[in-house]
Amino acid sequence: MDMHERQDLNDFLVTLYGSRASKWPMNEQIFNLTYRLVAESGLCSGMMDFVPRPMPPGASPMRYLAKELRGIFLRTIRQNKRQYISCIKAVALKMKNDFDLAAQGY
Amino acid sequence: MENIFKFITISLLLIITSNSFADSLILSAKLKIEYQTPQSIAHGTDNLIVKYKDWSFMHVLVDPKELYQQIDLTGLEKDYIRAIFDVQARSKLPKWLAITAEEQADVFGVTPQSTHGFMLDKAEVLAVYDAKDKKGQIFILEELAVHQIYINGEIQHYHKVTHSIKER
Repeated sequence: MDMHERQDLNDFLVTLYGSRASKWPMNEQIFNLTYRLVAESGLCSGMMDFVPRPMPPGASPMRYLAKELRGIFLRTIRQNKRQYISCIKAVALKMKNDFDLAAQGY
Repeated sequence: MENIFKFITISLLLIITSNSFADSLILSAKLKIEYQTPQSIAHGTDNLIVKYKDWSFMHVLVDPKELYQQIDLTGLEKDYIRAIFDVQARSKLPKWLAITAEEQADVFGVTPQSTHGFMLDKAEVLAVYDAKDKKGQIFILEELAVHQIYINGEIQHYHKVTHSIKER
């Protein structure tokens, strides 16, 4: 991920999880979890437009998505973060410890 | 030959005793979790992660302002958590919050078969395990605090953690 992508991801996650997310490393594992969070919520139709399907089982979204598409995905979730949070908050609570585990390098 | 036999016996005893050794994680003045010695323990921003080879659990004190970023549940956190598990409790909440609790229940996989609850003195324990995602959630409602314990792993580990919450 380049600097802009990292910033977009960080902005979105801080809005979703609060200041704790600012201490998480913006890396492939955190991106993949964010992608899974969006894909699993399935409630935000605007977000789902950027989730290409089908993806091979076990594939890393970070590596599977073309760089351009990844950039659009990250820009979209950042620009619409306030609107999207309400429809993914339940999945976000369930997945919170996945992010905490990833942030600790597990 | 005798020395080799002694060495093997002592080694086996050490392995057995080290694997069955139980540590205590103090949750509050009245509660603790007994857990087997893990591979590692990590302290995050506001959590404690206990990590084993193929599963983990994480303890966090619930901050009613942080459960969801856009909803401040201060003063309502216990009612809200009960409402995730209990439809009757849900009906006592404002409609918009009841809808949120229902949505959370769906995501956690709350069904009569997947949940259970019990009391430990005055503390109320509410737990759910989602077999599809292999994730468990345990909430402990105490007078002065609400604890959340996440379990990532097979159902036997979820049961193990649930049954290891004890009075001190």
